[in-house]
Amino acid sequence: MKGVVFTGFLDLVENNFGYEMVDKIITSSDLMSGGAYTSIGSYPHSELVQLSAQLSRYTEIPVPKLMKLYGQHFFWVLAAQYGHILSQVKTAFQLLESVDSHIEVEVKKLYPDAELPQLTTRRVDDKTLEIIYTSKQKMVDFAEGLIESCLKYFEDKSTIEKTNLTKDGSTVRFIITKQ
Amino acid sequence: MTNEIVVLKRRVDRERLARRHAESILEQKALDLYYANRELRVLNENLEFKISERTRALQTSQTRLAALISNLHSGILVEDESRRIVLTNQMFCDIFNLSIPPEQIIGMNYSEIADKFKHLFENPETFQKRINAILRRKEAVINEKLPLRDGRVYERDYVPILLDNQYNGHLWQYIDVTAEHYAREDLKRSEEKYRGIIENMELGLVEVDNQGLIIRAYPRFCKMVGYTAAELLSKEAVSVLVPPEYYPILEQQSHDRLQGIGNVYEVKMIKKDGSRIWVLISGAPIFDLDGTVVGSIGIHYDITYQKDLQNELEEARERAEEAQKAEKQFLANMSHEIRTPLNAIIGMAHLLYDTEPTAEQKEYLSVLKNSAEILRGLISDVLDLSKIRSGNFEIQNNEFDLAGLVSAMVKTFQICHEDKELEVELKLDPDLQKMVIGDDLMLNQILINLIGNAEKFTQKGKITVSARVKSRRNNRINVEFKIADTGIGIPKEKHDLVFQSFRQVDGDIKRKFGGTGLGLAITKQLVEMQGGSIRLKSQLGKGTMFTFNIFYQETDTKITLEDRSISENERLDVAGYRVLVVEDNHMNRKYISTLLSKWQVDYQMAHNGLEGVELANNEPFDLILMDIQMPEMDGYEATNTIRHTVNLNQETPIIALTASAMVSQKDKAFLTGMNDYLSKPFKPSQLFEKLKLFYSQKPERKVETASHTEGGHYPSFVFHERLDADLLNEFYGDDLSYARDMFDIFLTTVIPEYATLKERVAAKNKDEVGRLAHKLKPTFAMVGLPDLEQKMEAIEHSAKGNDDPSVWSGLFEDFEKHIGEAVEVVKNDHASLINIKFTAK
Repeated sequence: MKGVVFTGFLDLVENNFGYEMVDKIITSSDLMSGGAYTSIGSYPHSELVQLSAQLSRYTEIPVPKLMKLYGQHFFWVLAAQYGHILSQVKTAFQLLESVDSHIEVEVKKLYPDAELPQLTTRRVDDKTLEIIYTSKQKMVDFAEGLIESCLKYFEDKSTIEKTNLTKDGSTVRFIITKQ
Repeated sequence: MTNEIVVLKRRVDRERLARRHAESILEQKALDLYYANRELRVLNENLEFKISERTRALQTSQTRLAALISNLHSGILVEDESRRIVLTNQMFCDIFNLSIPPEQIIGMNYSEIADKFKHLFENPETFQKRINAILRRKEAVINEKLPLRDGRVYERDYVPILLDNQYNGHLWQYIDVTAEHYAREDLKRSEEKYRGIIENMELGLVEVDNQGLIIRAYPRFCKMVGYTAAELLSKEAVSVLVPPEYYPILEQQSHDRLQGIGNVYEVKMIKKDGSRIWVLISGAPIFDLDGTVVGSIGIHYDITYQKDLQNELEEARERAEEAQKAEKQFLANMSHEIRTPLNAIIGMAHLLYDTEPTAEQKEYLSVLKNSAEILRGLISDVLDLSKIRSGNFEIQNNEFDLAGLVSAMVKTFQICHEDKELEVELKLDPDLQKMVIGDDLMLNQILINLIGNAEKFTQKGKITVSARVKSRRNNRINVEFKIADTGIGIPKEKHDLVFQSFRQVDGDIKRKFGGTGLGLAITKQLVEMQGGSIRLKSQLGKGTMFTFNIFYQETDTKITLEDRSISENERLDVAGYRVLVVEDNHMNRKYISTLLSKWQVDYQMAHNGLEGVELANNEPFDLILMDIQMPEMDGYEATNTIRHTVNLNQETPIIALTASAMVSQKDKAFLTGMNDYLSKPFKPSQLFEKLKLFYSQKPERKVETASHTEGGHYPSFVFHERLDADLLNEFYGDDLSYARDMFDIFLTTVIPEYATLKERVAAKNKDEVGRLAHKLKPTFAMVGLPDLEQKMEAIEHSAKGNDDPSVWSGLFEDFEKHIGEAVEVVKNDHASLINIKFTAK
């Protein structure tokens, strides 16, 4: 997993709970990296799972909610860093449709070792977009947070309906419907 | 340390660790970048090398191409898809008189350039429009002719440039083809000129391909057959224009044409309106540049008029031939008409010698005989000549004794001149010892003509006749004959004339010596017909010598002296012979019967073919003499019946008595089964020869006494006093049967002619009256009416003179007063003569 996900996560924890909380969740986890993350590095996904579990323990906020919140926050981190991508599309649907076909291709060019989820989109009708999310990392809540911030960015008041297609949550369908 | 410091320390440691991690990643990335750069540089260098190589090759090829284009003898202009000029050459500038160098044109728009030179074209607007049209279609255009205002001619090509099927601009090529254009035009003009000449010569031209389809039909041809050129184009020439009966000729012609052979032939053609014309066609193959036959050209000449003329000429020729045939028929008939009475006259003259005539009568007889013979000679000369000319004279191949023939001929003349001061000498080559094969009759005639001629012009002196073998090859001998006389001779300048028909050396000779002037002409033709030649040597006053030669085939039969002495006993040889004479003519019957009686030959008379056949059924004969033209049944038919029915004379030899000397009649005679022929009039000797010939061939000689002869004892008879008894005695002596026959002839033939004379007098036909009176005149004396003969002579004289018709019609009226009574007397005496019984001696 890309280092930016870890540094972004720890920055969000520090801003909301102070560095003490950051230190607490690092030291209570068994991390190979020792909790020293750089955005250009790559680290095992299991470290993010441990860190989020420790945070949930200390803050008594469930992990899915934490991940959703992180997804909502991370969209803005990306938006600040990759604003030129956002300027190329006009609607949320367009951006979501371009993830699989365009954005992930660009990501692969920069980080050939990146493990990316698969996002298959389909326009059911003018107002409805179907997204099938498939990922080993099972970061579906993170993804939902990202989608929510995306709709907010384009001031789109669509609703999101989420259905697990598999028991383990590796494949999930999102139906995004405009009002 | 407080908890805060511990956390801070841990945070710094984590930050440091993260930084080091990041630095090591960056170092690794920098190193990766370095290697990537190095690799890139190597790749770049390789690429640069390759590019420079490619560029050099491109430059070379571009230089070559540029050199090629700039040296091309055609103006080149290449435009890109937006019509910007990307390439051109000097020639382009030259041919369009552009003063700017080609490099400056590159980059310009084509329409700017075209504006500078379009005025050069004959029609600038058309030029411009055409370019636009071509560019719209974007399809290649080749060899488009562009005439220029100054008379030059350019040719233009347009080629679109396609790259991966994508239009990428195009190429224009302009070539100055003025010289070729005018050369072609000249050639075309000269071709058209000659075609025009031929067309103006009323010759129709048409060109067809190897399949016979019309490629081009020229106006004159179209006019000839009535079609338009469009109607004929691509049609099969033969099936449209030629009648089916000429297809085989045309097939042969097209076969010849494919072999490259030209030819001239005539066929009929069908015009559009269905009428037909005759054409003479001169056909010739058309070759392409490689010499391959690609078709043929036919030059037609309408020969309908000539063909019609030819047909008319053919018809005219047929008519002329018909006329000639009629003339020949007429001649043959005339010979019959003339020869029949002449035969009788000569025959009678011969017989009269046997009636113990007085010296005076003998003299008259000799005049009669000579005159008749001259007349016969004249007739046979004229006939011979016409026969020779019509090709009807045929050469016989008989075996004969040549030396014997010549010596017999000479002997005849010797006997004639025993009393004259003319010696006839014979010189015979002792080498002539064998029988030869050739035409003995022709040789006889030649010798008679030449010796007779020598005799005529030699009053005193000598005639030498010689025959010698000039050369001999195998059994073919060339015999040379010479007839030399010591007579008056022929002047040198007249030598050429002697062999011409109807020509004599001069008029004086004709008066003095007589003759038709045909003898030598006939002689020459007879000699030449047999492959020989004749020539003349003569000196005025010294004599003449004719030399001729004839080729004969020598046989192995040697001649003995006995062969030549048979004739001494000829009279005895034919005695007891039985002959059937089938003859309708009174005079001929009389003539033949008298001769046969004289030779003691037994005979039977039949008056026509039918009677002849009946007699032939009743008793056997040794020989039959058969006339051809007879009433009831003619000689051919009678012969045919005798030969093909069972009778006693199926094998008996039959001799035709032809009045006509025509070969065709003789041929017909042989065809119907006759064995020989005798042409009338014939001499007693000729008949005797024939009798002898067939008698000698008879298997067993029959010697019987004659059972029927008319010669014998005659009772005395007193003629009516109106008739001149003295005169009748002079004519007939005591041969009353002869008198009876002559009276009979007078009544049956002369009286009807008298009726004709009467008509002619009434019609005042001067010439006819003269002719008929002349003809009738002598017959009156024959029945003892010399007074009427004199009256008739007066009529003749008057009609032939310049008397008024009233004079001779008056004389005829006088004659008529006497004739009726005279005829009655003749009739009575004729009846009395018939009643006399002639008894055998």
